[in-house]
Amino acid sequence: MGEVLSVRELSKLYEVKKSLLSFSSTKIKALDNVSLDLSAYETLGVVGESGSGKSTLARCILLLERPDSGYITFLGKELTKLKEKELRPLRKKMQIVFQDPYSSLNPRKRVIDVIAEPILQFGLEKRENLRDSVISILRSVGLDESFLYKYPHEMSGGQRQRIAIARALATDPSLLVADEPVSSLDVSIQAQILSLLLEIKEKKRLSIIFISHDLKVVRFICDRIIVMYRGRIVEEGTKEEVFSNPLHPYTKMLLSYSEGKPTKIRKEEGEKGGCVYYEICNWRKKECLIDSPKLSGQESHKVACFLESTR
Amino acid sequence: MVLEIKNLTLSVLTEYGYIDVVEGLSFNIDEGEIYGLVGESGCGKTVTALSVLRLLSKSFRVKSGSILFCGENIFSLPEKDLGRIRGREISIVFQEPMTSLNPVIKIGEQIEEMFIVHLGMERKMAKQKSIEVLEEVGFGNPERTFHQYPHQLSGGQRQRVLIAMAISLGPKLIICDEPTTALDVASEREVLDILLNLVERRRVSMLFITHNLHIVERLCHRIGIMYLGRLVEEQKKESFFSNPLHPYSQGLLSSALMKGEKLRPIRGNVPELRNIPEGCKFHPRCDLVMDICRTKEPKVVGKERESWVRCFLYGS
Repeated sequence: MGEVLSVRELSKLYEVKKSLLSFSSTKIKALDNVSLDLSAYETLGVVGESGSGKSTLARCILLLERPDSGYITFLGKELTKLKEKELRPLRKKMQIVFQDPYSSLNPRKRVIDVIAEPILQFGLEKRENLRDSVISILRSVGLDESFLYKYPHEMSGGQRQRIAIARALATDPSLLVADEPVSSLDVSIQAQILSLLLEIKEKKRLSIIFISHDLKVVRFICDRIIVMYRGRIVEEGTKEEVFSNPLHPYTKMLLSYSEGKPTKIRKEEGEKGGCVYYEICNWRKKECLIDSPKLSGQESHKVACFLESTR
Repeated sequence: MVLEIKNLTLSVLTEYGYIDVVEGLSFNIDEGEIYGLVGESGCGKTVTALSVLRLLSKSFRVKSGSILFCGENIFSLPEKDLGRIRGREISIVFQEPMTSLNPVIKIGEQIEEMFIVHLGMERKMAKQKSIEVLEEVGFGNPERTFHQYPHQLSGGQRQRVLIAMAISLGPKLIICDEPTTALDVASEREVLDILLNLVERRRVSMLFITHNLHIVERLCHRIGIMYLGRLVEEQKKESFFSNPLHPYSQGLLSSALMKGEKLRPIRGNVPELRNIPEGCKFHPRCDLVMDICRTKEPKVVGKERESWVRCFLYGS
């Protein structure tokens, strides 16, 4: 069914004050020329450490935050050109699940209110059928009607995350963005939520952007993977390619971390170079300081590194 | 033995009366050994750690058992002797590096304090010592770090400062309570490398509390699995990862995707502490449950300090 989402040259700058009282500020590139495509029923994993721009990417794609430049095409419509009012009908087709189900659910709302709100907002169901449709959504996330009138504090973390997923599914979206949906949960609950996401993806035929710093989880759930470092995509490819044949030094380092192999990182801070990874790269060359490498390679595996392009 | 916990039972006062949060807990840690205490939230890991330093709040009560540190019973020590042990002989590194440091005092001064308060050292000497420990935990330019404030450091760096404080007085035992949970992969790795290094060089013992089995695999020598206040299995690292005994341990390993690509989640949730099930506490979530599990609590099967499990599958 082709492309659900296509993002071109997305950039977002944040201004950061140098200190509390100073007037001067520096700009931080949270997203730097990020382009990606997501086809129907595909799960795309976005990997990177904290501060790499993963969450900013999620927020910009959903236009929870306006990007500074770039284009986002979702279901054939160019989102960045639309006004908020024209955007509304598309909003129900894209939903997000946040990391922490303790802060993403309103503590004063019962489960039925939480899930019914988007349904009513978009007028998807008549009031008299509301209860039934909320129950059927609850069932699809592995809960039952005994949860209808519970408040968030009466539920465990895993149950809350199920409610957050149920709320996202209530509007029958085409795109689900999951921003570290399991990293604040206990191990045994993480596995439950992951298998729930897989099941939902199959059943509802969703496209998912799955943001995580946990490579094992990403490897389990995703079809394709993007590796981000300081706001840029440094490597992109199918799961098989990236895991069996990582090309970028940063991806290699992340992978060897997760496999428990020792890796050396450059301790002394180098100069800032053209390549975002220059400072701590073990294989840096002269040209890396001058120019920044572009993402290039085959469709199934691309990398932004001079070491690879000259090989 | 550096630390010996014997038959420890702790209860906490709640609106439903006293509830046991740790029950009949026994384990010990040898010199230079890293013991990993693993479990999900609410299983009693942190309470156990705090009880070793007698840091529990007033609502907790020690119902039975003892904690011996180098042969001395922690519970019968007078308060003034505790001051000698806390920080100097046993130190602790907490989870959240931002809240454990004072935001308005320079890093260096916070480390200096250890030497000045505990050893009565002069400021000049204390500064030099502080710079030494900062260097030991991997700061390339310890003098600059000495004059920085906590907010100027990254999460990983802050955690390294806390480790520097923890080792500054040469303790025999370091307790680490989920020290890397708030960190990303790269800083996590850095912190773990430093801890491993320290244990090898200084021969300190370590009680490492975590729910992350990947870390345990890398760091610990022996592992204890806790579920609802009870230790349900204890093994050496190698045998644990190749042959986990308790169904709960097996579930945890598969949930953490450590046994191949197949995900077999443990069903259900950890029950609330006021509704602890009868018999084996894991039985409502266990796939291999038998009749006896519902009524009787299994006893320890196996050899202490080697490998044992609390499960009827292995006889009783």
